[in-house]
Amino acid sequence: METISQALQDAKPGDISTVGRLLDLFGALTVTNAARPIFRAVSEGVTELLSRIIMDAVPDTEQSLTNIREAVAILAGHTGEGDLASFEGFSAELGLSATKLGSPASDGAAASPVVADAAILGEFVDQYRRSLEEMETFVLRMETDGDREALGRFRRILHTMKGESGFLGLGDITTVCHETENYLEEADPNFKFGTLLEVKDWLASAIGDLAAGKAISRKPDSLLATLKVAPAEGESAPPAEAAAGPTPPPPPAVEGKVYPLTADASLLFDFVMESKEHLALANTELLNLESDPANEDALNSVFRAFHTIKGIAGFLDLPEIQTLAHDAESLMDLARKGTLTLSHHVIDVIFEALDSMGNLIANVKTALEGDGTMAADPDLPGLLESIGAAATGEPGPTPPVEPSDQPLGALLVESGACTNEEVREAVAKEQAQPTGQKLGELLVKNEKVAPIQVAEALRRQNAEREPQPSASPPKADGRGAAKMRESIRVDYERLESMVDAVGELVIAEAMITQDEEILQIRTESVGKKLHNLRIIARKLQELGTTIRMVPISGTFQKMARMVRDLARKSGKEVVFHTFGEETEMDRAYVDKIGDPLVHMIRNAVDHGIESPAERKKSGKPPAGKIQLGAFHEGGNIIVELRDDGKGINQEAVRAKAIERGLIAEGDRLSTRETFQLIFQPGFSTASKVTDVSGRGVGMDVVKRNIEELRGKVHIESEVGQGTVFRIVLPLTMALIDGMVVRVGKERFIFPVLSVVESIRAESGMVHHIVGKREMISLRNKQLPLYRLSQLFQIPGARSEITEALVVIAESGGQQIGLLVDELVGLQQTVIKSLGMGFGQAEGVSGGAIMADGQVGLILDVPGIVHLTQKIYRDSEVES
Amino acid sequence: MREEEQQGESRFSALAGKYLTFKLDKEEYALEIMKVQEIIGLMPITVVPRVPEYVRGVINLRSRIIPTVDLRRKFGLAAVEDTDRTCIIVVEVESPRGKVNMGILVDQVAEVLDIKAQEIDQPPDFGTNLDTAFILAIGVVKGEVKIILDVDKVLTTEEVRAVETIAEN
Repeated sequence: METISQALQDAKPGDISTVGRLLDLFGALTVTNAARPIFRAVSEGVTELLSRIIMDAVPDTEQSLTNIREAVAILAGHTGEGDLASFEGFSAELGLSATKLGSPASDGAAASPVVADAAILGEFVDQYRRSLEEMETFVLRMETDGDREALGRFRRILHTMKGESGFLGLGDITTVCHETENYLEEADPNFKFGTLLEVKDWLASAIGDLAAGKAISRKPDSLLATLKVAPAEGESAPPAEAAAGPTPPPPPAVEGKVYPLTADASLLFDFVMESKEHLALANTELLNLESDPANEDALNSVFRAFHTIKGIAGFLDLPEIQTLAHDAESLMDLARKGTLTLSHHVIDVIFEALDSMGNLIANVKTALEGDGTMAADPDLPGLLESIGAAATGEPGPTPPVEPSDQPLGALLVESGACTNEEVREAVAKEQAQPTGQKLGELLVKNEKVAPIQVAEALRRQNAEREPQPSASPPKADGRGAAKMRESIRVDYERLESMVDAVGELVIAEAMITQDEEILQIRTESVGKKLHNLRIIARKLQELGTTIRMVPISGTFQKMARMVRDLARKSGKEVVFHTFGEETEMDRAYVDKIGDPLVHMIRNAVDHGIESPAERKKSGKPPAGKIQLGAFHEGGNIIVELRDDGKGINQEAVRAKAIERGLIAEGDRLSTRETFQLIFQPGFSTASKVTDVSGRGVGMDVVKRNIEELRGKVHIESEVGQGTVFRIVLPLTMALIDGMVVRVGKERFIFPVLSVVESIRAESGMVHHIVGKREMISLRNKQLPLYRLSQLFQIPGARSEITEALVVIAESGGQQIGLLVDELVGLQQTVIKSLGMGFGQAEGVSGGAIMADGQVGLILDVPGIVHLTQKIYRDSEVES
Repeated sequence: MREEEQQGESRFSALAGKYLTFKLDKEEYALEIMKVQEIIGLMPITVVPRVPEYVRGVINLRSRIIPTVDLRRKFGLAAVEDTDRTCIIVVEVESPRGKVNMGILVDQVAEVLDIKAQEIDQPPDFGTNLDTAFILAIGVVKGEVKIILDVDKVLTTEEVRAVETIAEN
């Protein structure tokens, strides 16, 4: 009882798991107090109410919980029998929700407390007389056209009657209802309709007796006996189309069958969205659980995800999803109770369940957008079987396992599960005709070994690989502390146009406050108003830049799953760690950074991390480490991928580049330039092509994608120590930090990301070589110097280098000096396309509206570098 | 003869309708009114480097950046100083990349005119001169010649080609 009170304190309307826990407790209470009618009746009633709460079928969850709390408080102080009137609020609630569920049975109960006196009894009798007639129609409908709906209604009447008769101390009726419920559950779908009619007849006679003011004359014993025997006999099965019905327990999925979606489309859409979130979370937590099987929070989260999906799927009449969720939940429950060890095999099965669930949910969406029907998933029965196998495969506490890193086949032979020949045969078969199955699966399929033997062997094999639980602290702690934030979904385009409008407002504000005529008005009142306007505009601008920012965590979660799968595939051991998931960035980045990250991580797992044996040889721990993180640094967002693998061999890159004709034999390249070579299309130093990577597509995609986001990639690598890829991105897509310069009468904007520094050149620094070519010496580096006025043919620019400014710009690891007249200022600007035609204008990437309302051109440094090379080449041809 | 006339009429009947006419040098040109978005007075134009010389630059039209073509330069006419009658006609044109807005700089806007099918004739044949590809037809209204332009061709085909040429080099 104390436990229950405590659980009630913890129960929150929004949190299904706490309610689920209550449900368990009350279930136990019903059993232990079977002899005490009041306890039993109340706890059964509570159980019913709780299931409704979970199914979201009560009007006010908080109120229902309060009612339950009251009932429990009374129950706690309750010693004798009688005094049922005390349970007023709670039984009224039950009656109320019964009405809502569509059963006319309990109309009266809603209004009045149930007291075991004649008046109340009379009401009970009145209600159920009508209900009994309905029950008969329902039975007939079930018999003639297998109406599942009718079955559900029948069951609900029984259930309510059971609860209410319990209150009234009508033990026989309660027992009959209870047994009939059990019968319905067990015999489904092969009911003996005669038996059900007998139940109805007995109830009718019992209620008739009560109506006449007598005690129940017919003892239900023979009926109860029939109900217990009946399931074995099951003679008349309902027609097959009965299989898709709305009632729990879910009917078994029939292969090749098409399910119509019956629930409200908007509810289904919400379900799809919500379930995706649950699945994403479950994926993450399952990964945590894999590295730390003792992590209860993670275990509960996964359980909860399945539980919630099950509940809603049942409500929305999605039998396949419900069945899968139910089975997976049961499996997780075994783990929660400690009767099942979460071996890698079990985790694999749960991952499969998550994937399959994702597919099913995607199917719902497709069906919603299509003709409203969804086909049965042919793989589901197989998956359900493996879930079942996982649940029974390893019962009882785990015996201590002797660690071993021998191959599975060897282990199986050693344990006497099968012979060497059988293993060899299975391997040969798989090689001849690959089915993608693992050795264990093959052996089980060919009935050479039992699943449990494979599981046992796998556990031994994995025991050594298991990372130390202490090494990875449970991440759930941080998550729990995170603040819940209210949010709404907004159409992306609407948001875009708002952000645009804000950008324009800021410019308009600048135009007003800097207008010369307005500046001449020097009254205090105007000044104040303008100041106010400026503050509001700045605030809006800040909001505008951050409104599209979302945390990168979603992308990171996907990567975690991928690393796990890749590592398995390539037979490597990888510990994946992320940090800075909460770092916010432009939504557009979060969408687009996924692709490059996938390529980079594939590379890291496939080429970076060595095999466990190799790692041991070079004195590293067998499990490789990959770390993915995000953080802010100097107005940029950095996404960093770090591995402790074999690193990039500069010599190999060089040799490959020479072989491919990218560089000449004698070319001298800096480390940085060498690493940049791997971003060349088709460049790969991998000696073998695996199905993961090595075809040489990939890194060029990475580079292109990131440049599209106006970012850069840096590589640091040390042979034998590992590699670090650092992606540097501007804070948002729509705005750039610009450095405004003037050349002649024209203004240009350098993206700050492309600028290394700007210096005022002294005469000694600039040298003329080969005629017109100019060069600037900067800290012992010689950089080519170009005059923007010449490149762009702008008249009226300063020609004396010492009076002008040299901007050192960088692109693809190459630095150049660009001569401009002067620096005008720094400005954040909204990037706009120049429109048709000059999208390709070399050296210019777009335009921005300047404070005076004129268009300023944004310089494209890679384009300028390209341009300089072309002009240089042309001039050589001329001369 | 009669037949030919009829054929001609039906060919040009699709062109009959309202036109905006403008003056450039000594001639009057006509643009299909549906293509015209608005007419704005001369405003500061930002020069864009390394584009064909007939592109005057870009303007800021209520926070949208619109490229602007100097039609005098485009048609190879002598350059003149801008006057207070010089203006920019913003048109919507079809391009390979969809509908885009462009500005065309003209000496002076004249009037909105209804040109009937029988007032429209085909342009004279100058051989395979590309410069005339954007002349759709010739309208003669009350004895005055109006050169009807195919604005899509004036402002895109040539430019796309020019820009492509640059890119190829």
